[in-house]
Amino acid sequence: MCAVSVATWGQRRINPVETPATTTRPVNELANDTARINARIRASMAHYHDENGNIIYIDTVTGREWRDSTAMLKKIPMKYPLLTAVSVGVDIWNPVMRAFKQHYGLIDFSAKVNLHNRYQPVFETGLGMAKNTPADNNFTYKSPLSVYFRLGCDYNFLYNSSPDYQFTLGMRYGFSPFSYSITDITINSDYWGETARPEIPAQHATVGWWELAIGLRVNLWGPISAGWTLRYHQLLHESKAEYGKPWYIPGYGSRQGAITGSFTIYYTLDFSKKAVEAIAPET
Amino acid sequence: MGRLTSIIAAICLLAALSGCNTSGCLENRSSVPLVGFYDSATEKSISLDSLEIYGADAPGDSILSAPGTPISQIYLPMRATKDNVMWFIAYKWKNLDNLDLVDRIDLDYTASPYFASEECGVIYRYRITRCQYTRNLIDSIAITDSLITNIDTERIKIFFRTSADDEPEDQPQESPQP
Repeated sequence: MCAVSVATWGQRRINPVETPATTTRPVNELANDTARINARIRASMAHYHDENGNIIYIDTVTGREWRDSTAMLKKIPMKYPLLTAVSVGVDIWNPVMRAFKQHYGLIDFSAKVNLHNRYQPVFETGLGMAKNTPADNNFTYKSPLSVYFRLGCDYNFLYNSSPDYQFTLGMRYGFSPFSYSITDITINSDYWGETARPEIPAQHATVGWWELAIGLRVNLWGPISAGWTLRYHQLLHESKAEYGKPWYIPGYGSRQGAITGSFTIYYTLDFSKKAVEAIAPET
Repeated sequence: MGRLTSIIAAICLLAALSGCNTSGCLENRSSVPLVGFYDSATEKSISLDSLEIYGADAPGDSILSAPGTPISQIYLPMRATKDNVMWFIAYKWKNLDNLDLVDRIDLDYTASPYFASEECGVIYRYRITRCQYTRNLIDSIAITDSLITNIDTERIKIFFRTSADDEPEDQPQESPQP
């Protein structure tokens, strides 16, 4: 009796609880995760980079190849049509600088085609002239009205933004045939007490140069916009000069100047307004 | 208003940058040959303090260098209105102070005007065609560059006999054609 009582008193009653957690079987929920499966497969495979920089995986057993779509660069679509706009402009930089006692330059015109609001071929032409008698020097430099040309292309970094605001970087090749003369020459020799007044005949020259142009353009009102450009330029080639190289080169400016600028007023024919919807900011 | 302010600020900046283009004339404002003095035995540069150098027919007999000042180089000016220049070197030292020992340097050249730059102006450039000199104390003259421009570089070297035992020669000698 006593042993039975002890046995029943020490034994705990088992009363299982039935819940969804206890009725389900343990399952590897990640077993069918395709990302992990593919990662395991990639780790065991050879791969290479094609000419576009995409990763190409090779199944070493079957020889099958496929492109890793997760590593592909997203191609940003160009939102503007091929012919976005055409602009013509007049550079008023040199006329303004002449008011600040610059002794050369005249006027510059440009025509620019806006492709996809991204690539902008440009043609520039203008007229230049110079006349300068430096106060502390012994000559007068003259260069009659001469034409110059520049051809190049700009790249607009804000190509998916409104064409009203542009930030561009471009290059130009410039060329100018012109003539120049140096007159009123006086050369003194203090030791010998002599003064010479030689003459240099009119010279003809052709010069070519390249330019790097950084530009900013904003819309002022309607089709009118304004842009200013900072230009770094260097001479590429020039004709031989028997009596000395020209000081002023039309379209380039002073020979000594590596940096110049321009301020242009544009009139734009916009072909993009009907073809493109309003651009929503990307989220 | 904001746009107008930006435009005006950009114009001022571009004007300032465009103005920073010239550094003045870095070369000479005239073409004057730089002449150096050398020892004929060692061919090393020497400094002489007993020379009196002057040009023939210089107004007021003005001199280019007076004794007492040691010099190893000197600028000898050319004459733009002529095609010939003559310089004299007199030695004002003890028994060398003798008219018979004065050396003469005679240069023939062609002169042409040249536009050096806006800062330096117009200069003459000289092409030396012939050089004659006496050999009293001058051993020889070397013309390293016959084209004289406004670039500051030594183009004529005069080698002097510095030994006291050498006997001076009286006959003028002609240097090889430059």
